[in-house]
Amino acid sequence: MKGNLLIVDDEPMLLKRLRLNLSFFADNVFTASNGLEALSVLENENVHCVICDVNMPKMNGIEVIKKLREVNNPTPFIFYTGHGNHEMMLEVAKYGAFDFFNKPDFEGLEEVLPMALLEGLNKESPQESAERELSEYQKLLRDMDKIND
Amino acid sequence: MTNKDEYSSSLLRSIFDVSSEGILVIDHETRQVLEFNKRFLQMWKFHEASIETSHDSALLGYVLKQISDPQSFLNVIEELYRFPEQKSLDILSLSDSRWFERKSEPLIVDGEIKGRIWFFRDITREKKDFEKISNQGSILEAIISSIPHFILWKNVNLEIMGCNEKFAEVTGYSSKELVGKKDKDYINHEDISETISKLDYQAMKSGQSQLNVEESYLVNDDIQYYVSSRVPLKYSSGEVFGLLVFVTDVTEIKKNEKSLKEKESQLVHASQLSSLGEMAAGIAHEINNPLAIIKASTKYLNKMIDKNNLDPLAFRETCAEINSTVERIASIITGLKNISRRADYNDQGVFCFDDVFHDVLSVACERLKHNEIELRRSFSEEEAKTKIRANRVQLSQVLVNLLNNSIDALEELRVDKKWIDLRIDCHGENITLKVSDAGPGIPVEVRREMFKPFYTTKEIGKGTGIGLSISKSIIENAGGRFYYDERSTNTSFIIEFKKAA
Repeated sequence: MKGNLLIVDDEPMLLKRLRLNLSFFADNVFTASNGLEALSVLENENVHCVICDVNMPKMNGIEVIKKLREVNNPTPFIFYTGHGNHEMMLEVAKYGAFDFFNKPDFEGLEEVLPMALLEGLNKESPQESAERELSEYQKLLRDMDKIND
Repeated sequence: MTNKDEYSSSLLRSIFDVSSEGILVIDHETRQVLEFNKRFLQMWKFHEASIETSHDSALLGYVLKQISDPQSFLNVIEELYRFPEQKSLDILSLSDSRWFERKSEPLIVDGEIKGRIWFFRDITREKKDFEKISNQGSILEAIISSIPHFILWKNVNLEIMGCNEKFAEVTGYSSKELVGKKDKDYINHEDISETISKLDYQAMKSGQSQLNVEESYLVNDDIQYYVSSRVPLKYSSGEVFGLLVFVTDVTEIKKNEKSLKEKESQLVHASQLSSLGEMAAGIAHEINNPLAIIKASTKYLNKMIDKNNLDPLAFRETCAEINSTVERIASIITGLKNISRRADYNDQGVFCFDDVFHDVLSVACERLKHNEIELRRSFSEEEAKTKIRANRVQLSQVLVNLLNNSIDALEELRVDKKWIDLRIDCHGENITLKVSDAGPGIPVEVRREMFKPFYTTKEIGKGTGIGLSISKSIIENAGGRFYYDERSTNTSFIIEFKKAA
């Protein structure tokens, strides 16, 4: 079992390309073109990982993760945005996002996705994150932990 | 006494009395008054009784009191007593500001000098008229020489007949030396003197005044600008006898204007960069998105080959998508280039609003999307393709600025539907682009101020306050109008141009 993936992006062509590529990694791939659609998929389907754009009409990606965490849904989120910055990374860290990639970094996305899906599958009994090369976002989280300790 | 003698005597007496000249006759030997007429008494303000038997010296005493320069008059009289045969003519200035012409001749009877006749004529009025005229003449002369423009007049052979000091100064000759010279005689640059002579000749030949002609000359690598007027001088018969040339040196003004325009264009560019900055986040997204599509597409093709599962149809479809995505990036970059380029203020061209939309919307659309603003296009294709003459780069910049303003305002607006409307209307020779948004309009007190430079209602650091003022000057420079639509209930600005022929 590989798990189910939800991809959220307002750009139809990108959505299609991500679906075609990433379908190797998941059992089912759902798509949504804005935050509201994403919430309705999450409500109706068993989703193990979300790849989510930030800037979208109707509801943006940060609002989606915020809403989800409010109802204690721990589904791993990988943010994939065209103009990310440090502030935005910190913002999503507050909601425990799994990772953060800037478009057009596609390789990073492919590399992290299996681990995120795995964590999603094991969300009832979360395991230690698998050994992997740390992304910039992960480093940021680790640094924040050090400061908090 | 014979009848004849009596006749002559009374005739003489009458002439004597009606003469407009004051006449006085003095005996040479005794210096007694022999004769005088009424006019004489009048002019010198004598009482008849006081003079009847008077001696010249008593008379003289009274006269001298009235003369401005009594000493020289006295000298003249003494001289005339010494040389009784002398005739004399003089002008007397009186202390009450009258002027008399004085003539004096010997009275000769039977070849012998008997006395002296004095004639006085009041010339005050002539003198004043003359002074007035000579005054006017010198005033005109003074005016011409002090006018800070070059004035010269030439004859039909284009030789200088006269000029003012200012002109003489610039040629390095005196105004007298210049008389009779042709242009080539005092201008070192042959091409310049030829051009000037040609203009002179044309004006003279046409017989018509050529007013406010702009001329520029390259002198020692420095451009000099002049505005000249040429007026043919004509006799009352209409025949041209010369040419009046009036030239103003506008080099300083032109250079200042130029540097002002350059400064303005720098300012426009600076403000443009700040508008672009506002759009920058949108632009990054706008380019990163298609790049991600290309990346995902090539990855997909590789994967298919690895799996030996490449369907020709899917291959072609993917390539077509990559292609269209590349086109999309190219078009964003073109738009970006078109609106960020420093506009040459002289760069007027013919284009249509559709071209401007193409440049601007590719850059602005991400910001619109991000703020969930619907862009309405209220125009037909024909309207959008109507040609106008303006500066395309600058007009694009105006539109970017308006869209930025609208987006900024809508960001903070709590309405169900956020929209920006682009509406084109053709009214006869004119075409207008109205940019409206869902905002409730601009308060009257802000409307009054908003076209002034550096006026802004935005937070510190957010707006430069020069967008609208620069937009207005850009559009007015291109012969258009830019104004707030007072009649609209929403916030609306109108750009108006004449259609290009």
